[in-house]
Amino acid sequence: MNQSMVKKELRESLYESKGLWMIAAVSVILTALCVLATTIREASAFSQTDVLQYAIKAVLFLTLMVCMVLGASSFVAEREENTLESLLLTPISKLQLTLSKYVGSLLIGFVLLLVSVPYILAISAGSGLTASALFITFFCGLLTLLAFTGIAVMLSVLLESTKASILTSVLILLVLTFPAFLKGTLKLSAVGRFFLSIDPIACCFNLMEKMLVDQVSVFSLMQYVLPLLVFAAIGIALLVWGSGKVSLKGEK
Amino acid sequence: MIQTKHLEKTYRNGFRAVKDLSLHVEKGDIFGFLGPNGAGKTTTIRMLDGLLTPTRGKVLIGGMEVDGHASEIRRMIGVVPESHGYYYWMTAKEYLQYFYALFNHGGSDEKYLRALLAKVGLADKADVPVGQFSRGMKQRLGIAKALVNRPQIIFLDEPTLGLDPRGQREIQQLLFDINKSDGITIFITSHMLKDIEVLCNKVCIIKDGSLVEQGSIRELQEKYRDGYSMLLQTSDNEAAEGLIRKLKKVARVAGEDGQLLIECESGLSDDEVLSVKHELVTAILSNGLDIREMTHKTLSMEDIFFKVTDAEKEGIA
Amino acid sequence: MKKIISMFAAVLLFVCSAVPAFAAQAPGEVSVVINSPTAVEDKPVYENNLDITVTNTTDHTLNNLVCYLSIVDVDRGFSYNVDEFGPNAYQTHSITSLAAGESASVVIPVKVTYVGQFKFLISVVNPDTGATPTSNALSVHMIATSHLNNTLVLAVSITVSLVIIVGVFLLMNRRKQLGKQK
Repeated sequence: MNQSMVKKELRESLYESKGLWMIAAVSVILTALCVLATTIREASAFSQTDVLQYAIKAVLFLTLMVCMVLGASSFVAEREENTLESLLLTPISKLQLTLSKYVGSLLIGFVLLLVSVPYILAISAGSGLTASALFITFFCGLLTLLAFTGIAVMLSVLLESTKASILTSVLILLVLTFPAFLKGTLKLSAVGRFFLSIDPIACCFNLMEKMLVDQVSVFSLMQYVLPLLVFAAIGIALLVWGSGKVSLKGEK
Repeated sequence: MIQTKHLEKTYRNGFRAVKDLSLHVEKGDIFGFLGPNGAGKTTTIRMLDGLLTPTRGKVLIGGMEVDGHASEIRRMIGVVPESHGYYYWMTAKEYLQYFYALFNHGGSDEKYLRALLAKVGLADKADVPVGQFSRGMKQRLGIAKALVNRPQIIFLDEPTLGLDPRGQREIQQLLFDINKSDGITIFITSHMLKDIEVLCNKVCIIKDGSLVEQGSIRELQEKYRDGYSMLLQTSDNEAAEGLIRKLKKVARVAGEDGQLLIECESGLSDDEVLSVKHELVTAILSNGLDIREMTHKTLSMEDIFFKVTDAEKEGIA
Repeated sequence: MKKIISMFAAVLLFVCSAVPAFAAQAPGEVSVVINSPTAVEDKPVYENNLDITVTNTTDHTLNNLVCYLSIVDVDRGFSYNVDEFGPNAYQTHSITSLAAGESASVVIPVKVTYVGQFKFLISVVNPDTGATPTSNALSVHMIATSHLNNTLVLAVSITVSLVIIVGVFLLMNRRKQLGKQK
């Protein structure tokens, strides 16, 4: 991983790929959710723990979405702008190049997780769940970031247009998020329960519920932690495999 | 310095872009690589700089095979691709700094980079975003970037494409200066035969992926010259034409842009050519005509190219 | 007179059995009682089993009775999707066959995470007749262990948003100005 490249990727993500505006947009969305939670009648039924869970889910989803978009456009944008050839002609290896772009996108995700900290502190104030909430946000957030951003960067290596790359990445995120919201239905079948047990987002949600609602220690929840670790490893493995496929379109 | 041995490239769809190409470029040469559209020029350059893997054959740069020494070779070469993109949000200095850091493990040398910008005539544009550059300025920046790692060889793919005549001349002069002052070997592909004629001391012509001719420009001029040619301007070209047609050993006389193009028969010795010239001058002067200008006409690159390729004018300037 | 009264009674019977609401009311067909708990006042998370007794008060066997839980939020004036009150609370419980006069026991596990005043009601549907007798309402009062500090949440969220937006504007403007200067 090349430091100059990471700095350049970070600068490009923040300024040129509108990363700064994405961070602003995420903070506005979180604020809107907070306003809704504190003002509408139906939301008053939720206990503080419920509101905290919804806030963490929103943070995770928004962070993943932003990072997947940035990661998915990393290589295709270089190819479309004809700047990839110059990079491939430097002594930097393809793996270094890929990792630099990966880290550049990950850092934005980390910034977004940091932006969520004041919100989580405010929502969890007085509940005694602040430490657990922050742990879940960063633990689940970082593991899912590592995985999904890796997949997004890999797709940007393999696919030929920014549109295709971003759409595919977002689709993968949605497909893996959906089961977590259909828990009630999927629980009814053995196949559904199996899928829920390995789906990383469902595992995040279950981990959250167990730690915040039932106040169980994370060390007793390995059945939810392991799938997350495995998924993160798969995402990174796909990224490393994809780095070997970095090439100009001319090869075809 | 650059050598290819039976180089071939067949793409996955079965298209043979380069066939059995063997060429040799000496250190310090400005080597022109000519060919019509689709001849395989860009494919060849990409195999030389290691971006494409040849299907068959070898590429040697500085005595090292590209396959297996990619990293070392990339430190030795600079490349200005045909479709060269830039990070438009970076300033010229930042752009060079970025690539300097990539070649030098994150290092920086402001003095050297400013000198490089001065060399390519962009000293006063160091802090201007590249997005505000004209096409010619971008091309010069591309050349500066290619020089950032102090290469021994520079590959340029159509460096004057899309530039106005002034821009073309500036690039030609820049390349000439780089070659003379720094001893950098230059490998240049171009459609612009004038570029090649002005810059290059050696050329290679390819067609449909195959090498059709290779050598110094002088050698090719000698090889493809039919006979001694000269351009003549007199006080009455029409009358002079009639006189010259009567001379022996003159194969052809034609009016061309206010001058007479006179081609002697091929195969004449130097003495015979001198004799023809003497007869011509005597014939004109003795008939009361003045000679305003008389010059030897060498074979142009365009003439050589068309003789070699028998090509229709397909996108060739 | 007798003919008029018997005709009137026949018409009344016909009307009562024809109108579904009345038919459903058929009091005494099934009695549903929540045995325990009798009342709940606790803090989230509250987990317990609702013990219910379903008794056939008719003189014939009733088949395929379906027992289910419904929840009403008294304060806020709406009801909930039951599966939000526990992983199995949503499931219906079938009583395949209940002989006349016999009772069956049903257990419905609930897990309450919400706060507020609720009424838990158990209903039993007889698919043959459509009768849906309902139990006594179980009062559930869930007291919040802690409250969301609405003022703090609003203040922090709006402040953070504003700071970030202003910061982004300033950064982008500064960049534009630097670019123009050059």
